[in-house]
Amino acid sequence: MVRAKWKGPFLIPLPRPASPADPVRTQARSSTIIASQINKKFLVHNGKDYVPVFVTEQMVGRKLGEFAFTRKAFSFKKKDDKKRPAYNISVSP
Amino acid sequence: MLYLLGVNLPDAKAVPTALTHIYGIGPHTAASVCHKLGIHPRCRLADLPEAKITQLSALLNTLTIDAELLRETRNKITVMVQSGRYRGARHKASLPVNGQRTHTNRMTAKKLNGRWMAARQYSSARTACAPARTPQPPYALAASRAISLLSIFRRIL
Repeated sequence: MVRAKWKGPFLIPLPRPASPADPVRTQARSSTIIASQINKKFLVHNGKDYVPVFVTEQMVGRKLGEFAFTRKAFSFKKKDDKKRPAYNISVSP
Repeated sequence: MLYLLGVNLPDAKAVPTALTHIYGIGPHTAASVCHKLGIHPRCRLADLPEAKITQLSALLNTLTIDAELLRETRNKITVMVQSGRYRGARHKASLPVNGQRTHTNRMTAKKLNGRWMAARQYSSARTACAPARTPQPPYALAASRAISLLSIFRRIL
């Protein structure tokens, strides 16, 4: 069920990086993306590594974890395994 | 066959049942549309007066059905894929989207989930893997019928 609107978006206080250009390293996958986070870089935990996510306008209202895949893509052909990225690497600016 | 809003509706059927042949209208919407316009649920499409049919098409125009619905759905899925969401990646790979197992049992997903993305690439792919009912203009049907009749006559003569 979608979170009730009167409650507002589910937010986890995110750490502020050393400089504004640095990506924000976070394990808060369930934190909703808000408009003020557009055009910012995040490193979202997927259980093992931190996946780079560049927030665009389409992503507002979704959670950070939706863009950091937790499983490696599988293919029956062995050569495809090397071509496929292990997780989603978003468009970088 | 009544040609309504780009879809051929079978005349002999009851109005609510006939309306379900439109993409985007199911039994619930069809029943509520008939209730709003005061059409008896067992009335046949052929027995509807012209005024009622005009009212019906006016009401149906306000709903999101057919080409509009398809466009909206396709757009939503394209946005999912473009923004890099997990759900978008599943649509692109023609795999189950709602968290089902893929160790076994993913054949329905393989068949159905890729169609929204495939339609973007090739125009011919849309006819190959289009959802249930594709609206056909009446002249195309008539032409195909004429061709089939001609072929039958040729065989006799």
